[in-house]
Amino acid sequence: MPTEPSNDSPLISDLSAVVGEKYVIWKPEDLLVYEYDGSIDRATPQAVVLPSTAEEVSEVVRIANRHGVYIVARGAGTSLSGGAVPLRDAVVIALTRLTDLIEVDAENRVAIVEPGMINLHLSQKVSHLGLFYAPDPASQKTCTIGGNVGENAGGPHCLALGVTTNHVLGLEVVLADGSLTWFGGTQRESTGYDLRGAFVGSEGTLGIVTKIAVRLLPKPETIHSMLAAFTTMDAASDTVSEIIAAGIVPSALEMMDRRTIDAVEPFYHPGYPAAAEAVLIVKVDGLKESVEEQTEQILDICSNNDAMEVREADDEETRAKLWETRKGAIGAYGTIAPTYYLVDGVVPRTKLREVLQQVDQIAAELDVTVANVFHAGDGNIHPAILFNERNPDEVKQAILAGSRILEACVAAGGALSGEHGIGIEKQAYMPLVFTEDDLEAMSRLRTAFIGESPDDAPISVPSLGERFNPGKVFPGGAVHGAAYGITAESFRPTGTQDWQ
Amino acid sequence: MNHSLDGLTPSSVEMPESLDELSQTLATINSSGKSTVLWGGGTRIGVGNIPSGYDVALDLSKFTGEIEHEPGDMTVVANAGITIGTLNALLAKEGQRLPFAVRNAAEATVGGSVASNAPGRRQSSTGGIRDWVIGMQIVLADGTVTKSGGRVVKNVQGYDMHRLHTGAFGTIGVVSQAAFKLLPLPPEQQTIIAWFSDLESAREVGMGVVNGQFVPEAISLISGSLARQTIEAAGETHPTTESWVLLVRLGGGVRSIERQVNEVVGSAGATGAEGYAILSDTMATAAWSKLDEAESASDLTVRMTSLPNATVAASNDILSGESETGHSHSTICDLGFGAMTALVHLANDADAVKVANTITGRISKYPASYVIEKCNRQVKRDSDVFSDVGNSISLMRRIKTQYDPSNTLNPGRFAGKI
Repeated sequence: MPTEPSNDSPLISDLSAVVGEKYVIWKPEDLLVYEYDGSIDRATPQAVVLPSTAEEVSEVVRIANRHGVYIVARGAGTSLSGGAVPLRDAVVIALTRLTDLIEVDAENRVAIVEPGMINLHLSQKVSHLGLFYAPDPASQKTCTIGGNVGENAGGPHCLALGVTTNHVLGLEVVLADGSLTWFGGTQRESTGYDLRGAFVGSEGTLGIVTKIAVRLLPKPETIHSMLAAFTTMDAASDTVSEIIAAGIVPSALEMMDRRTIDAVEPFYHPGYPAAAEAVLIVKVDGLKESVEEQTEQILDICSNNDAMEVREADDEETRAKLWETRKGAIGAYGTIAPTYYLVDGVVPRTKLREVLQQVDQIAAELDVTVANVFHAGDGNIHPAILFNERNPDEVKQAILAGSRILEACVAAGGALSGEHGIGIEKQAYMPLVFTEDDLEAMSRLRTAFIGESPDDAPISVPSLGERFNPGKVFPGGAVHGAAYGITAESFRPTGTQDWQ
Repeated sequence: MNHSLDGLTPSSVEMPESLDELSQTLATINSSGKSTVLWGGGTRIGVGNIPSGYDVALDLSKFTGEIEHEPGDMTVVANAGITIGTLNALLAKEGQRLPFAVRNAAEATVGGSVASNAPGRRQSSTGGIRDWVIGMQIVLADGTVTKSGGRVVKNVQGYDMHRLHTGAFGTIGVVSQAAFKLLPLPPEQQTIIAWFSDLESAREVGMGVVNGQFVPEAISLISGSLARQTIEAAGETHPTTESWVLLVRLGGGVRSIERQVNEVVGSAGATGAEGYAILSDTMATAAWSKLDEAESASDLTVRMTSLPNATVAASNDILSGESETGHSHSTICDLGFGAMTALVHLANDADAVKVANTITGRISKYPASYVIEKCNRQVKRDSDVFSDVGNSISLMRRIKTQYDPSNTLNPGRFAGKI
């Protein structure tokens, strides 16, 4: 057991010497906010450090090595998968003071930012140049770009524009020995192994990112959003398929089900038709002429599928109104139940309808309430299981329902996560998709990154391979829902994906 | 196919047709302490350093299998030996295509293109192959079959090994199968050629287009003798003075294309283009083919990736280096992607090292990466054909050691002679 930290413990005083006493948090009551990340799992860190430069991060890693403690890098803690929950008495390195926009090159459309910069702030800061940063997770008002790198975050606009990895050019990373290295640069591709590609989405297990070079895109001259209400989910799903079949890749294609419509009504009073079972929101943008061409086609498709009502928005105010139900949907679930468990799974677009029916069946069988709001265009579903956190039985049922939903996604040829990551939540399900050989091949990458044990590391450090964000991604690191009495035996994920 | 490479001839050639055969063949090569060079269609086999060992040629061109195309999901999964041409022909039936283009698509294979991160003109709009690989099956050096990613367009599950293997030149595993995200074919395409008597005007128009409201399918700024040849290939008359050429391919619906054409032509006219033409399909094909022919005919090719404006500046530096090298230089800048290909027709082979050093020296003034994609053995002996990767080289070596400790796969061919 590590010694109980106090301000005169050797670890705390070493960390304070680097970042200043004010930026080392060790009192139990102050550590509470670093215990969780919006998922149901939590764990208390040994201490939290808030460095202000890459050099300080590097020095903190060296100190952690000397003291034989694990490290968890943390952005805003919005992963929803337990990604930032500090297991194994880790020291949390919170990157929230590293928020600078270091450089913008408008002509070449490149920016270099620090990892603690809030996602939306980047787009706001380059807006006057007619540019924006494309990845836009729903949490973009709070999540950080460093965290986005860790999780390979997506968002509604990744349908047309790609996820974080498609927009990251280069990374400055603190490696396990505390050294600083650049992967890639400001150019689109670099020689050697694509370390940047391997690092993005590695959930903080390979190193700590301290600078990020990203691509910026020109803001579209025309944006047109359409909202269509349908009497059945099937009609809405058919509309999605037909839009894609017409060769249109909208910039966003989002769907809400009946329960979500009910949840948002009292908040935003959108006045959707009473008989609407599904609402579809489609956004197209770009050249005025191409937006017009695509809008005509999409409206035809909606009408062919008997849309009950279609709303359109082409100015910012109307568009914000049209989108507010989608953006506020998850918050609105609070009217139905105190807590939600937002499952993140992906299915082939052509299997959406089938899997959503299975989600309904699972909810009925396990007697849980599920609401759906999701990225229909890329098959990324987000069933929200609504429950009361204070009732342990409800928590267990929620976790069980989540596992059944993920099994259904995998069985349909899909993926365990589209944008939230594996973290603690889904590590037990990794064997549904990957063989032991697959996982072993992945773990070798981590071994290559972590390298040999630092010369001055205490022998007591267990499992050096897990130097960064221990107990994540790989099966067996932690149990999802352990705080609620869930054990490893509670889960026996069944079925495998026939991939090869 | 002759499997000799860089003056080395393997003692045997293996052509597995199934995954089991591939796995067993690799296991045998590995356990017997031999080394192997991986082959696809052979179109880019020359890219890389001289192998430090070459006992067996492992040719995957017969590892084809079934193509799994899901039009509704806009995804495709194909084995390494399928050619890009075959794949695109199949996808086109459903109005789709691979988002990336490669040269010599009729021979270039999925495995070779992914492993060598093959560039193409459409990188202007869609980026590199890495951006479209969503999953991969990889056979490790000891024959173990592994996979990463998935078959759905969006997945975050475990490490993105498929990105690590894209462009790894088969040095840490054999890319045996890849899953790609697809794009619809554009309803219409239109190519415009414009030529200028000064580089700055060509640059200004080109950068204006790539930073504008539409993304051209492809946009190349061509200089040197190739500029004049491209104008001729397009059926236009070139001026006697030195010229810079912008070749732009646009894609989209009818009304959208009309607007794009007007903008490009308007900007070229307003910025002092000496001439421009909206090309017929035949002439457009001829003009783009001219660039491919020039790449095939080049004796020494260096490809640089950098910021778009740096590629233009470097291209100017390389042209001005003609007086130093005494050989004819041409360059093609991909302004949308930020890449520049320098092509040299060598009057005599003996100068190759000097010319290569001049070009890479001029590129190195910029924040850039480069690959000497085509050169003679002298150049390969004298240098690393890949630019320096900086202090991440030690991590790259550790990665190689993790996956191929006995140095079986393409030994010595990669960056840092890994």
